[in-house]
Amino acid sequence: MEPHEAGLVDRAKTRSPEAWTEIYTSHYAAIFRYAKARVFDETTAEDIASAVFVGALKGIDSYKYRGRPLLAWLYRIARNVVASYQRELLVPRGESQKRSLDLAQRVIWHLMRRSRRDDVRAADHDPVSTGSSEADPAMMVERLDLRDALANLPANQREVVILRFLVGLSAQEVAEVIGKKPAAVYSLQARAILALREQLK
Amino acid sequence: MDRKLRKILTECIQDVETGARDIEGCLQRHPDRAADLRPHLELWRGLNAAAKAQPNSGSQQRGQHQLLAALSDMKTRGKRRMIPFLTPALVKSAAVVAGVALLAGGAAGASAAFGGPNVADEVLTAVGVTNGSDHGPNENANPNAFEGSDNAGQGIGNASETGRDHANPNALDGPDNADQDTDGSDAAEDGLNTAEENTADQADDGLNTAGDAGTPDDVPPNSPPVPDSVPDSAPIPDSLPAVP
Repeated sequence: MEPHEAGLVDRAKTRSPEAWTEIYTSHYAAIFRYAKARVFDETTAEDIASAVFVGALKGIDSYKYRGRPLLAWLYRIARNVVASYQRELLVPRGESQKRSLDLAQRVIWHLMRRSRRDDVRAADHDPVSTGSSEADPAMMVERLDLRDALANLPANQREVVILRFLVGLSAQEVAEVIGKKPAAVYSLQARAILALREQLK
Repeated sequence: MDRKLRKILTECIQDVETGARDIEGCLQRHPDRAADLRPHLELWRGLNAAAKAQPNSGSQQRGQHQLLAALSDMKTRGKRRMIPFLTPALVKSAAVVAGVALLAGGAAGASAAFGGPNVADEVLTAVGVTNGSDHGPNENANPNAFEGSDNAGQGIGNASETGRDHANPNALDGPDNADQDTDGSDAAEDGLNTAEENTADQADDGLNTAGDAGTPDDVPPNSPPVPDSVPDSAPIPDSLPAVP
């Protein structure tokens, strides 16, 4: 995997369309899932995922491959884009007149989103209940409003829960992506499970 | 929080994920804590079994076209900006010569105004440039043209290099561990946060993320607005999604 990725990065630096197509098709789903777990909106998640790859294209010249998966780098860009999106959401930039208008729009959007959150439990809006089995554990997960639950978790636990359960990476892959040891990922999972379970009580 | 339970749960999750034993095996191994453990392991199993969101294939293709269009645009701009015969070395040396000529011209003007010697000739002679008889240094000096070309040649990809010094890949770990580690032993237990890893991370990425720079990446929806002065050193793509 490593030699292949190293070669892929080299080709990406030469602006090879084939290399970029391969990077995109290999990692789009993971980045989309991550974005969706962070913003809870499919269209926004799609836009963010696209923006991540355009950002990667712009930053590839300064990226150095040192054996860590390319996904780790894309994940960091994704975190960055999501954070910027959330900042933009809260603090409009630009001239002051536009600012007040945007702020009002944002407040309305937040209110709408909040009310939608209350009445939507449909499977297609809940990233964890989608396609869940009818077994007890899945029902348990359905009882959990993951949006609120994730928001209440500390950032490092939340990132591990998202990457492990919503993106679908293995513990080993999560460890590589966030740059920690697998033992740390198991520990963060345990902490997150304990915290989530508390919220279910 | 029950530290013992957390430790056992960590162990069980690791065992189940690595295939060393299943959930029942884990519960049998800790019969005294089985009642506490079971709901946590069931929750873990439920999360683990949950289906993953599938991206819409149409949107995925649109995104791919956007990426390839940006790639093509980047290639075109790169070619247009860098005239082939103006290699960076040539451009830089030409800019240096032009700069010297400009300095000499300024000095000569000042000198002439006060009735002094022709400083321009002296300066140019000193740096080994022979001054032509019919064109003064000011006519030669057009550093902007050269400098402009130089900048254009280097333009692409600089966005991600700015502010690299702010990189702090610990953004994920720091605050939470501080919150929770009451006995100070968790860092060692977890294998988290070694200085070497952090330094390696910083070097690895080749770009500075908002998370790295300590900018909050977990702004909850009802947080108070962040002031405009928040450092924005992140390599944000131009096409940030519009606010719905």
